[in-house]
This record gives sequence, C-alpha cells and structure tokens, in this order.
Amino acid sequence: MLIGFAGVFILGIGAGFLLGHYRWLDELFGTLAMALHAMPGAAWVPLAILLFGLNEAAVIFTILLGATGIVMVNTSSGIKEAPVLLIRAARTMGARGTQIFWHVVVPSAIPRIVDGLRLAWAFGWRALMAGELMIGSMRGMGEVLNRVAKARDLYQILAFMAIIAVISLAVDHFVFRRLESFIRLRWGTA
Amino acid sequence: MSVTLDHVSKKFSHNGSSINVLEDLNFTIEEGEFICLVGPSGCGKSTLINLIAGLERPSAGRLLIDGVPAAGPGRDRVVVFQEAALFPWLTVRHNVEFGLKMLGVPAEERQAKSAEYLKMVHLSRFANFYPHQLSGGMKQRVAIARALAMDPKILLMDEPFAALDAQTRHLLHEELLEIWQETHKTIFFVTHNVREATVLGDKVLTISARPGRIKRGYAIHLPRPRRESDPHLIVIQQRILVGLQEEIAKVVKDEDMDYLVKKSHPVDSPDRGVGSSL
Ligand SMILES: Nc1ncnc2c1ncn2[C@@H]1O[C@H](COP(=O)(O)OP(=O)(O)O)[C@@H](O)[C@H]1O
Ligand SMILES: [Mg+2]
Repeated sequence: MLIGFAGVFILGIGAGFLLGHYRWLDELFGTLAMALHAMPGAAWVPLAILLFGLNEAAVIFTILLGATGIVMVNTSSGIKEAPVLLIRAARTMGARGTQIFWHVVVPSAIPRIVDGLRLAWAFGWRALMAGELMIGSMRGMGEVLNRVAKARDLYQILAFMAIIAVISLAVDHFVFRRLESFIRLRWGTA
Repeated sequence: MSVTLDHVSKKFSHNGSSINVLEDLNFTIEEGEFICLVGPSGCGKSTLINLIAGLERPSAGRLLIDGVPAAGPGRDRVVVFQEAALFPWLTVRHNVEFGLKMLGVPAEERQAKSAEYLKMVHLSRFANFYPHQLSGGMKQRVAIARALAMDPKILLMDEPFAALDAQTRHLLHEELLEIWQETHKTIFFVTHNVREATVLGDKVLTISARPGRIKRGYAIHLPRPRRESDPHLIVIQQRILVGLQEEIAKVVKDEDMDYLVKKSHPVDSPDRGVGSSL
C-alpha cells in the first residue's frame, strides 16, 4: 500500500508537472490522463493479474493506475492555473524560467496538488480493496478478506468493514485534514 | 535613469480583428521625476505600464532606457500592481525578499534589506504575517517595500491605491511622497483619479481612449504635501477633467455598445469614470 501510494505521489505529481508545463505534452496525453482518471481502480485488476500474476506487484499496479490519474489531472491544472499576475510580478523582479516554475508556479499549485492526493488516497484505498479481494495475495489483507468472506459470519464481515472505514477516515483526518488546514493558513484559501 | 518612448504603439489582435490600444506615444520620463498619467479605465494604462516594464513588447516604435533599447523586463523597472500581487504562501518578510533571493543575495543581507524597507512602510511588526492576514492598504505597502528592495531606478505604479478607501489612500499618498523624497526614485504612477494625480505628481499627463494617445501634459509646481482641497489644485483638476470629459464619454459609449451586443453585466466597475472619484 505504502509503495503504491509513494508511486502515485511521484508519478502523479511528476507527470502533472510535465503536462501542466508543456502544452504539447498536454495536447498529446491530456485526454489519456483524463481517461485514466475516469477509470475505476477495480477495472485494472484483470490486466494486473495478466501482467504480474497473483501477487503484491499486481496490487501495487492496481493502486498505481487507480489513483495516479487524479493526482496528475489536479497537479497539471494547478500548474496551468498559476496566476498570471504573480508570474508577471516575479518577472519584473528578475525571476526567470525555472525560477518562476519552482518559486511561483509550483507553490501556487500546492493546494490543488494536495486536493488531488487526498482524492487519490480514497481512490487508492478502493483500488487496494478490489485488488486484494480479487488477487488475494498470500499474506496481508487479501488473505484476511478471503477468510472473512468464506466464514460467512456477519459479525466478522461487519467488523472488518468497520476497521477499513476507521483506517480510511483516520488517515483522511490525521493526514489530509491537517495538511489542508495548514494550507488554508498559509495560502489563505479554502 | 530616463525612460523614453519613441513612437510606441501597441495593438492587440482579437480573433481576427485588432485594436489599437496605444498609438504613437512619445515622451520621456526623466530621472527623479514623479509623473502621473491619468485616463479613463480601459484606455491602455496597464498596457503602457507593462510595455515600460518589458512585460509586453511594443507593436511599433522603441522603448529606450537611458537611450538604449530595452530588452525584456529588468530589475531597474519594478511594477507595483493594483492587486498587490503578493505571494500568498510567503510571509510579508519573504515576499519583500523574493527578488533578492532570485538574485542569489545571501540570507543575512536579504533580511537586513527587508527589515529596512518594512520599516520604511511602517510594517516592521507584521514581518511574519501572511498576506491574507493584512488589510488592503497593508498589502500595498508590502508591495511597495518589495519593489523598493530591488533598488529599482524607476517605480512603475499601476493604480496601486484604486481599491483602497479614501482615508487609507490619503495615508498612502503621504507615505509614498515621503519615500520618494527619501529615496529619490523616479516614479511613473498611473491612475484614473484626477485628484490623486494632482496631489502626487510633478507632471500630470492625460491619455485619450481608443486609441490611447498622450493628450496633454500639466506641470504642477505647488509645494508638497498638497491638500486635495487647495484652490490652486482644484483649478488644475478642473482643467484636466474638462480635457478628459470627451474621453470618458467615448469609453462609456463603447461600453454601452458592448453591453447591447453581449448583454453582459451592465455595471462591472462603479468607479470606471475619471470624474466619478472626484
Ligand atoms: N492581452 C490583451 N489582449 C487583448 N486585449 C487586451 C489585452 N490587454 C489589454 N487589452 C485591451 O486593451 C485595452 C486597454 O486595457 P488596459 O491597458 O488594461 O486599460 P486600463 O489599464 O487603462 O484600464 C482594453 O480594451 C483591453 O481590452
Ligand atoms: Mg489597468
């Protein structure tokens, strides 16, 4: 899961920077990114199994494809929407190309990027569940999931669902809410 | 440093049709001068500021800095924009230090500079605040300090106080004049407010609308600080206003036509006319 999310983070933001910055790349791959973003994570499971077999790598692949799209789309639009006025102000103060990108464009996109990451967490979590359930890797959640499902015990199933919900909410609350309120404080935005 | 506009024109193309925003501008801003340019909204004042700043290129003619054609923006010509244009993610102090950081000035030196200029605009206590925690007037002060920290030869000011209430604006006029007298910067100040122009400038230029041409220049020799209600000043204001009246009419008429065509917002800016702020 962590590997998957780290991958989403790096790939999504990296690709988002590229798409946001180079218009020709955006024209080439922008629709692809949108399509990726529109596809439910679970839809990647069959392909993942085909490519990697029934193992961890397939799960990571599912998370990656299920959640990278939203980060990419948010990052690139954040980059594209960098306020022209701020860029002009920086230019009159002698900032040039790469300086403007790293010191003006990227910071101005950070609220959007964090939005994207938060959504990616939700999407990635779903993709993880779908992946684990269908791929059922030997250790870990897949195993538990399958056991719970086979036991046909309502209480076990409900308990399992509650745990999933709590983990998901906890991360949302302790990581993303905090990040967002920090951003609200800094950027003065909602 | 002097800035000379030599037959400068600027056209913008809008899906096929092009508009002459500025046409054949010829004037020089001499070192140490405080020049105010007045004209109705939409006549091309911001475009002119952007041209001098090097953010836009003239469609025709040349912009000379000390007699040499200018190439792109330069730290010798810094702009203070109407909307302050502060970086929201940086503290007041780091906003002021932004340009110096881009230059690679060491941290200690930057800090000394930002402290100096924040003191000049009376904001030392707010150095660690973020822009959204400041009032409009304070934001403009930060923008002025940020521009001064670059040690520009000329300060280009694009209606910097237009969005402020009358009292704050008055206060900032006084502060700006103090800064000007202290630093001897050349200032080119653009506004749609005739009173503001006459209170501040050594020279007031008026600009016509569509196309924007320099109409007239008025020298104002009254000592500072000037009172807006000074009878001598009112006489000058009246002369300027009469000269501008037809330009305002022109813009309003154009905008009415736009309105009929587009059925957009009938009034999007209550103080677009030059005279209404009088
Ligand atoms: N980048 C641009 N592209 C097309 N038209 C522009 C552009 N910038 C300004 N204009 C037009 O030029 C005219 C003058 O604009 P501006 O310089 O902002 O006027 P002012 O600052 O005096 O209100 C306006 O009619 C505006 O629509
Ligand atoms: Mg303007």
